[in-house]
Amino acid sequence: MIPGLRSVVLVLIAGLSCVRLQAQSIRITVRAGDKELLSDSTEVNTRVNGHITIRSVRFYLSDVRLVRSGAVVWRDSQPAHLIDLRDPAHAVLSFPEGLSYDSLYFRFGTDSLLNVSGALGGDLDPAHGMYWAWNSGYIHCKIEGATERSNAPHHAIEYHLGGYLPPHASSREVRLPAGNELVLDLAEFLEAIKPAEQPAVNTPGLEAVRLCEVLARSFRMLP
Amino acid sequence: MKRIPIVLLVAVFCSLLAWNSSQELFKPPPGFPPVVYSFETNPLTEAKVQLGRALFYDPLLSRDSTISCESCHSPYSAFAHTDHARSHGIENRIGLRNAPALFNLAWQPEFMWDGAINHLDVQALAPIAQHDEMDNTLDAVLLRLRRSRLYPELFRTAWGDTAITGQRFLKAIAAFMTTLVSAEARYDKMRRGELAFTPQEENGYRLFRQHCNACHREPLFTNYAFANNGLPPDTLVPDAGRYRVTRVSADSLQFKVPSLRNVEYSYPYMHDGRFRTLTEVIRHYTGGLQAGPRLSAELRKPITLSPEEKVDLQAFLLTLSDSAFVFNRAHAFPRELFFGGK
Repeated sequence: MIPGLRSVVLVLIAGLSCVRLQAQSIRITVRAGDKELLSDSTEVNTRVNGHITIRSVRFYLSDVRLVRSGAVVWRDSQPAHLIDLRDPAHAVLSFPEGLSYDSLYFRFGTDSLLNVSGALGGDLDPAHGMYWAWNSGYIHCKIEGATERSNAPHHAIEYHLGGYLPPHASSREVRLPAGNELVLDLAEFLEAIKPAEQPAVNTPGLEAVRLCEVLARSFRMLP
Repeated sequence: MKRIPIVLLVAVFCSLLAWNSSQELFKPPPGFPPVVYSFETNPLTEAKVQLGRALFYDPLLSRDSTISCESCHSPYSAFAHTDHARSHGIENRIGLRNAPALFNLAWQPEFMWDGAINHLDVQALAPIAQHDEMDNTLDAVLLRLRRSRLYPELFRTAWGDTAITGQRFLKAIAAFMTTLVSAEARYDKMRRGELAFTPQEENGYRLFRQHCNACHREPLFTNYAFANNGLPPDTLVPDAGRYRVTRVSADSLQFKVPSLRNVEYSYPYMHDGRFRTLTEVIRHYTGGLQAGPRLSAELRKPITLSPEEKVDLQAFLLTLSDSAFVFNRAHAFPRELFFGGK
C-alpha cells in the first residue's frame, strides 16, 4: 500500500473509532436506591421490610459479551466473574482496546453447562463457597444480612440463590446499553424478600427463581 | 517461524504421553459401555492418581481430623462400610444413609442415593461439608493442605506447581476414584470363557436374568435409574429420596438402583442399610415389598421363587465378588507415602 494512503486510512479509522470509542472497562457496584453498598455493613431503609443491614453480597456474572447492532463483537474468554462487595478491585469487567459496541450482554448467575462440568477453576473454583456441596450446582448469588423482621438467630437473613435444572433454573440473561458503571440496585430485592416468613433461602425452587428474576432486572448501566 | 512446529510437536508429544498413561491407569474392561466421566477435562497421570489416593485416605479432610473417606469406604468391603447401616461421621454423628460401595464410577452419571451430585469431580464436596460426616469446608481443607509438609510437593508433581486449589484437589480425588475398576469377578471370567459356572450358579444366573436384570443390568449390574422398590418408609428417619433433589412429587421415595457387583462385601443393604443379609433382600423382593402407586413398574408383578431357587440366586450373586479388586494394593492405604519405607 502507498505510504501516504495508508496513513490517511489510519487517520480515518482513528477518527471513526474516536466517535464510537467505548470504555475498556466497566466498574461494577452494588447500590440500594441512591445508597452505595460498601464492604462493611450498610444500613438500608425499606418501605415493606423496615431496616435491613446488608453484610455480604456476592454474585456471578457469566458469558459476558459486547454487542454492536445486534452482533456479538467480543466474547469474554473468562467464563464467569465472581463479584464480591468485599473485593471491589475485582469488580471490573475489562475489554480489549478499540472495540466499539452499543450493548453489554451477560448472564446473571451461571448457565446449566457450567453447572454440570465438574470441578472448574478460577472464579468458578468451588473453594470460593459459591457451590452447593449437598446438591451439585453453583449458587448464583449470596446476599446476607440482618433485620428485626427475621426470627432466625441474630435476626439473620440469608439468600443463597441458585438452581440450574428446570423448572427451577434461575440464572437470567441481562442486556444493557453501553456505559461505564454497571450497578446492581438491591432496592426492589429488599422490598421483595419476606424476612418474617422466609429469612433464608438455601435451595433451588420457586422462591429462588422469583428472587433471581427480581435481581436480574435490577441491573442498570450508568454513563 | 521455526519455533511454532517445535512447540506443536512438544504439545502433541505431551498429550500423547498423557493419553498413554491415562490408558495404563484406566483400562475399560471388555464389554463395558462407553464411560461417562469426562477424562478429556481430567487426563489421568500416575502423580494425580497418587495425590487423589493420599487425599482419599487422609483424615485431615474432616473438621477434627478423625475420619477420612476411607472411614466409610473401606477397600476391604469394595469401598463400602461393612456392618454399618448408616454412615458414621465425626463426634459419633450418624448420617442419613448407607455409605455405598465405590467402583466403576467412570460409568456412573449421578451420585448419591438420590442423584444429588451430577459429576464425579464434585462428589467429594458432599461428605466434606455434610454436618453428620466430615463437617468441614473446602476452604479449611485447602488451608491445611497448604500448610502440610506432604501436600505442596504432591500437588507440584501432579499439577506442575504447588498451587493448591479446589479444582485441583477435587480433580485429583476424582482421578483416583476412576481407577477403582472392578471387573475380575467369577462372573467376568465366565463371560470371558475362562471358567464355567456350576449348575447352581447357572440356574441362579437364569433367575437373575428373569427377575432382576431389568434394573440391575449387566455388565455394570445397574441401569443407574431411580426407583421405588417397595421399601416401607422408616417413620423415625424420614427420607424422601430423590424428591429432595428434584422437588417432583413423582420422585418421592425413589432411590438409586445400586450395582450388585461385590454385593457379598457391601452389606448391609438398601439406602438405609436395613437388611443385613442377602437372604433378607431376596425375601423382600419375593413377598416383602409394599405395593403403592409409585412402586417401580418392574416390581408390579410379584416374584415367586422356591427356597431352592432363592439359594441358587444367592449363589449367582456371590459370583459378582471381585477379590482381586478388594485386595488390590494400588487402591489400598498409601502407607509408603504417609509413613515412608515399605
